[in-house]
Amino acid sequence: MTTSFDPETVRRDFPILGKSFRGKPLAYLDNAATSQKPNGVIDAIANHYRKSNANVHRGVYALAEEAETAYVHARKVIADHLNVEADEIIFVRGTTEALNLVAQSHARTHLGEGDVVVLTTMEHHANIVPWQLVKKQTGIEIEVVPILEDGSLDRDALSSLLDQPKVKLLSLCHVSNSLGTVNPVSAIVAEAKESGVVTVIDGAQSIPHGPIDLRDIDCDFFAFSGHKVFGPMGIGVLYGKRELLADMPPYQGGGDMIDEVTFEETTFAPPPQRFEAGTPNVEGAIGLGAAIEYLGTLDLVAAAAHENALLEHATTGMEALPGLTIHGHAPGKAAVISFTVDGIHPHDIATFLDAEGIAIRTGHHCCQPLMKHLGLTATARASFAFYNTTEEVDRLVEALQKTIACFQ
Amino acid sequence: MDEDLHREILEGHGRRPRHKYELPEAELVGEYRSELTGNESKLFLKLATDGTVAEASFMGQGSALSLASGSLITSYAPGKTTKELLKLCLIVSRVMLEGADEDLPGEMVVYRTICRFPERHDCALLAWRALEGALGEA
Repeated sequence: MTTSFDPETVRRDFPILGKSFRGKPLAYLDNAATSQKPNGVIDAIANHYRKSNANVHRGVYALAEEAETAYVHARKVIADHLNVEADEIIFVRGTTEALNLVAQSHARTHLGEGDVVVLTTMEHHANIVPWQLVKKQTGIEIEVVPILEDGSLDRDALSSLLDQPKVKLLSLCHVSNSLGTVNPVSAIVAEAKESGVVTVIDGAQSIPHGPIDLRDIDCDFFAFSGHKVFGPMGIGVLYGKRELLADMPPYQGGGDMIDEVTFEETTFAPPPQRFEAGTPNVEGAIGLGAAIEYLGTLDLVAAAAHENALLEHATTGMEALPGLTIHGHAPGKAAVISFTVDGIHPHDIATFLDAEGIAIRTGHHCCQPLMKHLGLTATARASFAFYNTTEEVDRLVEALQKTIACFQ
Repeated sequence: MDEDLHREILEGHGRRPRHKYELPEAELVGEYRSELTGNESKLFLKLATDGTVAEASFMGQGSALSLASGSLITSYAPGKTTKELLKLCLIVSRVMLEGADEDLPGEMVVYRTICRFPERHDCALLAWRALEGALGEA
């Protein structure tokens, strides 16, 4: 492998990667579930509580100002990273809440009976269930774009759907958490815009894998979780275009989201505060800001090239193993490998790998419709981040070989 | 050390499950399918005239761990009353889900190790849920 990226250097920033389990050094290959956290994030959270903790908004003392400044700064850092404005960044708990917010606030208000929301077969439950709730509430219809044999999106089927006047909203993942498929969202959004279709991108799996420019993608909404991008759990972001956010009612009511409250009437604050009722997750926002700042210190293009090299190396090694099938071969896919092995249940594979200190995930990956489409109930999944190494991939392949031999 | 021994017991039962066949003459039959893993288990209990289990067998598809549980149960059940089996069901369940420190007979001690792997609870308890279903018929 010849990339300019040195994983050994970045690994030193992630203390957990130095741990051992069952007498073996941890090989953490479950990054699609959650990523590990660099010292910068851990320290930012700890320092917030050590030095800056106070409630944000309206605190008229120096400590509260410090907390407020850090909170505002985090929003700005994230907005800059995505090339959007800070008031287009809404802090939420994660991708799930972000998608529910769009469904309940935008779709429920602007869509009605017979309008169609388009999803794809490869969606996570978080991008299916919120729309089903709106369907029950408003009578909208849901159409699903199928995938092709290699796991890529059936663009022809999508185009036919976008041509239909009843189609009002398209919500799809940028990167599939199970298959690793990268959807060409810029082209898809451009096509949807021609038909006046609102676009929602689930970016949970794309944001850790390289630079994202939302002005370039030009989607209406983009959702992601902090914990997938080396930040803390319990914080995430919904980006929404200013003009759409302005035309959306609050998602939840409470403090911090109002202009004026009387018992007769309440006027709401402008976005993003309108959508952030109650005391926010300040430590989470600060931690996520620190994660994004950390990414800013890396060459993300080189990091992505390193991940691709890991993916290729793992794919070659795994495909050579008897009875092993990789699900998802879309060109340019992200460093996620879902696989099954003939005669060995994915849960058993994970247990055997665990004994070797290798952490992977098994199950339906919150994608039951996709599993059904593949004719499976579960897969094993290895997912990589820039801090993973060729040596870890070799350990994975070797451990799989051992597991297969053990079951023969 | 216990963990190694338990792993050995489980691998033995998982790779070469005992009593894995249909028992058409069984009076008590229970079935369970996990939506989470897609694993399935069906448990058969044939009773003797004194009400104890004369023969036990199971069918199933899924992980080695789920098959190991079927094998362990059907190896243990003969000679036991349905009441004794139900009591063991509850004990295993408490050990697995609540980490309860209760006595487990013979090879059933493996559940002390499995209880530390919550991701595997669904597999490990599958055949037990099928057994509960069969005993529910008693």
